[in-house]
Formats: sequence, C-alpha cells, structure tokens
Amino acid sequence: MGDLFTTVSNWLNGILAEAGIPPEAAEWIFAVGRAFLLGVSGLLLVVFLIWFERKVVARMQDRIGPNRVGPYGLFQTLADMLKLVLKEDMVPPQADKILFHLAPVLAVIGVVGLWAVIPLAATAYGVDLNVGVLYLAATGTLGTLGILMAGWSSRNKFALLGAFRTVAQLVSYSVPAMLAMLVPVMLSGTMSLAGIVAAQDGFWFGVAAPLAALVFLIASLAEVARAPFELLEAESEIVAGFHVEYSGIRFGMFFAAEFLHAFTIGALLAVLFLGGWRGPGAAEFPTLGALYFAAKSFAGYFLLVWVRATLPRIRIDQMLDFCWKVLTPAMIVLIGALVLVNRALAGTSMWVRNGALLGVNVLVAAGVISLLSRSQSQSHAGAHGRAPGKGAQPCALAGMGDEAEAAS
Amino acid sequence: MFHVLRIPRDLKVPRDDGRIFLLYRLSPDRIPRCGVIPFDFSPHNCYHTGHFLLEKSIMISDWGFIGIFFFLAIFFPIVPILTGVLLGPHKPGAVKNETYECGIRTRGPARIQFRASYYLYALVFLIFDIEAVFLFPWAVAHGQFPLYAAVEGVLFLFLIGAGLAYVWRKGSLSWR
Amino acid sequence: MTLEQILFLVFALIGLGLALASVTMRNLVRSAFALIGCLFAVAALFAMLDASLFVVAQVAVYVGAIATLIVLVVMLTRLEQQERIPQTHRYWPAAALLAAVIVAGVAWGLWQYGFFDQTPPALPAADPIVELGRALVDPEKFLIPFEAVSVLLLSALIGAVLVAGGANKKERTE
Repeated sequence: MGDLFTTVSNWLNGILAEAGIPPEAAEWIFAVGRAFLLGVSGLLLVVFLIWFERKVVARMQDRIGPNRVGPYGLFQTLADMLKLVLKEDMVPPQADKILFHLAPVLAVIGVVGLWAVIPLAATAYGVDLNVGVLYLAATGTLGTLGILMAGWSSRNKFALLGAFRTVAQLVSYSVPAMLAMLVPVMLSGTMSLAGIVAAQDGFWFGVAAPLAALVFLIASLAEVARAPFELLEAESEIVAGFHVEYSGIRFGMFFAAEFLHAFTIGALLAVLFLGGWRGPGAAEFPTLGALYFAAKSFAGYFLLVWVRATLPRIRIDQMLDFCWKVLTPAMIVLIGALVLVNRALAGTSMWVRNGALLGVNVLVAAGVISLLSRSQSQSHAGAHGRAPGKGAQPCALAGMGDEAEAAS
Repeated sequence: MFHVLRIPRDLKVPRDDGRIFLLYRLSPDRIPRCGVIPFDFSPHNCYHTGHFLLEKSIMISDWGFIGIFFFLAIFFPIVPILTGVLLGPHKPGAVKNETYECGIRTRGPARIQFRASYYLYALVFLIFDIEAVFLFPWAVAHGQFPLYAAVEGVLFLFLIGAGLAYVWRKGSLSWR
Repeated sequence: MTLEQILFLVFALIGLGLALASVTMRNLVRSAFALIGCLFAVAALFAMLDASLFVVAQVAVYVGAIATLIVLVVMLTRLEQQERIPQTHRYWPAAALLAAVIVAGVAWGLWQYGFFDQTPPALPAADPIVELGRALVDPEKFLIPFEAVSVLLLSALIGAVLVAGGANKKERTE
C-alpha cells in the first residue's frame, strides 16, 4: 500500500458509497472535511509551535524554558490559551467597533488561507490552483489589511504608528518576495505549487538559485514582522504597536496568526526551494514525503527562530533601504540573468544548466557584496560629520550581504 | 480539486468522445469510487507519481474549494473569541477603558497626521505589484518560445528597474 | 435556482451594498474599507467564473495595492474635518439623471446583444495561464501592448515621484 492518504480516502469513499450517499454529496463531504482538517490542524499546530519556539530560544539564551506544565512543559501553551480565554474581554469604548472586531478575524484568515494550496505530500493537499504562487501573494494582503484595521480602529497613537510602519514594511518587502517567487515559477514553467514540487526532480531550486531562496527568506521574515524586522510591534518604541488595545483571546488570535505565519514561511521555503515532499523514496510512498515536508518546514522554521534569537532590531530607514536599494535591484538583475542563462542552455543536460544557474547566483551575490562594501567604505570616509547611526547603516547591510555569501 | 485513485501503472485513458467514466470500473478491487474522469485527461492536469494518479474532479471547482475553505476559516478565529467573550468577566471601568499609552494620560486626537513618505513607498509598491501580475504569466510561458520571448520579459523587467533607479537617484527612497 | 445562481446573487448584493456604503458613509476610513469589501465581492464573482488570474490580480493589485494606498491617503488627511462637510452639492439631480441614462443605455445595449440565454463556451483544455503567457510574448498577438505596459508603469513611477516629491518639499518647509 504505502500511501496513507489514498488508503484513508478510498476507505472513506467506500463507506460513503455503501451508505448510499450520492457521489456529488460525498464529494461535498470530502471537500468540507478536508478544508476543516487542514485549517484545524494548522491552528492546533500553533500550540506546538509556541512551545517549540520558547524552548529553542530558551536554549539559545542558556535557559531551560517552559518545564512545569506537562512533560517538558509541553502543555504550557494550552494553559496559556486557557488563561487568555478566561481573561476579561475588553473593547475600548473609543474604538471603531466594527473594524476593531473584524481585524483579528482577517489576520487569522490571511494566514490559514495559505494552507489551502500548500502540498503536504504527493497525494495530500487542499487544492492545486493553477495560479498558486500568485494566490499566496494575494492572500498575504489580508493580513496587512487586518493590521491596518487594528491600528486605525483602536484610536491609539501607538497602534496607528504601528499600522503605518506595517504599510511601509509589509508592502515594501512583498516586492522582493514576489520577485523571488518568480524564480521557481520561471524554472518550473508553472505557478501551481504541486507542479513546482514535481519539477524539482533531481535538483532543488534552492540549490540552483540559492540567492533567490535567501532573498525569499529575508523578505518573508519581514512580512511576518519577526525580529530583526519587528518594527511594527517594537515594545521599546511603540508599546505593542497595532495590537496595543487588544487583550485576552483577541490578542491571542494575532499571536497565533503570527506563529502560524512564521511556520508557513518555513513550509513555503520547503515547497518553492527545497523540493517540498521530495526525498529518497517519496515518489513511491507519499506518506514518507509528508514526513520529509514536515522536516524541511521545521528546518526553515528553526532558521527563523534562530535569526530571531540572534539579531537585534533594525531601524526603519535601514529596513526600507535594505529592501529597495539592495534586495529589489539584486532580484531584478538576478532574474534577468537567470532567465537568459536558463533559456540559452535549454537543451543541455541538467548538470550543466543548474551549474550555470548556480554560477549566476554566485556572481550576482558577489557583485552585491562588493558594491555594498564599497558604499560602506565611502560612507565611512564621509561619516565623521554625521550622526553615528547614519554611518553605521551600511555596515548592517554589508553584514547581511556576508550572510548571502555564506549561504550560497 | 483532485481526487486520489489507485490505478494500474500502464493505464490508457481513452479520450475520444468526451464520455465520462465512472471510477469503479477502473479500480482493480471493484470498490465503488465517487468521481469521474474528465475527457480532457492529459499529462497537463494529472501527475503520475508511482502508481497513483491524481485527477481533476469536475464537481467542485478549485475556487469552490477555496470558497469552502475561507467560509470555514472565518469560524476559526470567531469561535475562540466568542468563547472568550462568554467565559471572561466583564467589568469595565473609567480608568481601565482609557487609551493605553504606558500610563500617561493621552493628549490630543489619536488620529494624527503622518509624513507623506509612507505614501511614496506604497506608490512604488503599487507599480511593482502590477508589474508582477504581468511577469508571472510570462515566466510560465517563456520556456515554450525561442530566446526572444525571454529577452522581451527581461526588457520589461529592466524598464521597471530603470524606474526604480530614477526614484533612487531622485532621493525619494531615502527615509526622512 | 442552482447553487451557483444563489451564490452569484449573494456576492453581487454584497458588492453592490458595500459599493453604496463606500459612497454614502461619512467616515472616510470606513468607506475605504467598504470599498475593499466590494472589491473582494468582485473577486468572488471572478472566482465563480474560474478566471483564476483575474481573482488573484483583483486581490493582489486592487485590494493589496490600490486599496491600501487609498486607506493610507485617507489616514494621511485630516479626518475630523471631513465628517462635517455636506456629501452632495447642488448639481446632484443632474448627475443622478446622467447616471441613470448611462445605466439604461448600457443595459439596453447588453439586452440587444442577447447573450443572457446563451451557455458560455467551454474553457480550452490547455492551461489558460500558459495561453496568456504565450499571447503576451507572441509578436503576432500582444507583444506591443505588453511592452507598452512597462513604459506606462515607468512613466507612472516617474510621475508619482514628481508629484510626491513636491508634496514632501512643501511638508518640510511648513
């Protein structure tokens, strides 16, 4: 047999047909059941993710982390959730009621909606849209809207400031994120996520285009608004940003959406650049593929947690400069070069083509780093008269460029 | 929407006249399946993965499933929030209801004006967003054409890149 | 009525209602969000037609970019003033008449065309996205418009910078 998903779905199909349910109704039952299962398991995953992140960050900071509730503190999040549900439900009287209630709902939908198209295994996914990649970009805007709504409706200066930073950040970084997603689409010739995974037979796109994968990771990190990009909820500057007036489980919904989004970034990185469910034996046994996919997603998520525990928050001008003056131009040059090389070498063997693509990536990365270090030395020469913060800015950017080199 | 079936590796699906096949005829173990095989059955809408075949169903469309998914997704946040409203205490007070600004009493209207720089970033983003919507179909199809098709797309991309360079030169991308 | 017809009516009514709300509401930010809801309803109608690219383009471009821009602009203006000024001016009966004439004309034209009782043609078996991509780079089809779009976007970018640049300078001198 080998495939759990097919076995279960065939078994259920058999039961429904035996019970005399017409095929149309059975298909509806299946669709609703699948949607429900995907969404609920996504939200239940959050319970585990929060524990995972707290444990990992604690270890990195030489602490133990949650360890009292349940074995290894596993039930800590459940206890926290219970606490949040039992907290007083406060709606500030000065708030815009409709938008205030709508905002957390939108934030959750914008993240859960992404899981409708992510292929978990060869035979397990919600739906295989032919515009899957653009669907991801479109659904992501719901979260932005939710944050904007929360910030405006709270009638709080800090919340509004957070919302404005959100617009600047999320909107800016979705440009390099979309350009990075263009690379797998280009290499596979399809926008369907299942098709992209199917096309990574032999070579992962992350191996052929590591720079694109890195840009996707950085830009997505900014889209989730986690450290070092958590300007929109910078505690030390604007209290909690857009959700400062939210309390209890309403705040919990924003919190859950953020954690699920972070894990979703890991999953998308796996699907677009790390071969999704692909691995030895996964084509024959899709259940094994689901395990590979989970492992890759968690590896990506671990990377996000690691970055969060390591890097300090960057300033808003650094954040915007890094997006518009480093990532976006680099992606434009990279895509242009990749397309031409990929198209020119269309008939050659897989090794030659992917080797050439990798070479293009290394060249572009090297070019970006040399340009950055030159602008760094220039600004150092002219930085004496200026504020120390301004002079330090290209250093931070060059530091990130170094990471690009290390990863490629 | 896809339906998962287990069918022989060497299956040949006749695609002559658009007849619709019931799936249990194809299944080796004669378990009735609900689902049909569309007549435009092609490698394009199916992927052979070992001896499994995923095949497009025609009853609920892709977007129908997305619709179901979003309809359910509305309830995922609403149910916990309603639970919280029902279970939590409700004792508002004058001090508790104040705008939370770290304990300092808030002054002036909350909806203050912001700098116009935010607006400019959103505008540049808008241009790139529209550009992306055109670039994705090109990225899908460029491989099926000679080299000039790829060059056209790159030209498109670099024209927008020139716009970015112009904005950069003008200093509009500098935060102030 | 089939399920599709019911859903069409639901989404159409939501869209029309929110469009009306976005025009009549006094609170500008609320009306901007009503506009966003209306755009979503249109996206749902596209989804019912299986026009995948239109759905994602509608949401990504209209909701994600244009509507965000509108909300931002509205937030940047002084709201409290806007809530007191009248919503109509004295020429509104003439404008309403003109609008009614235009709607009647469009409706009549559509009726004459007579495709309400026709079944839509079947979608081609090939992936429409691929077809569109091919058409965009095919010199015999839409190559010139495709490249013209990039020039248009370029000029829009330059224009935006010029306009916003002026606003920025003014703000700094104030």
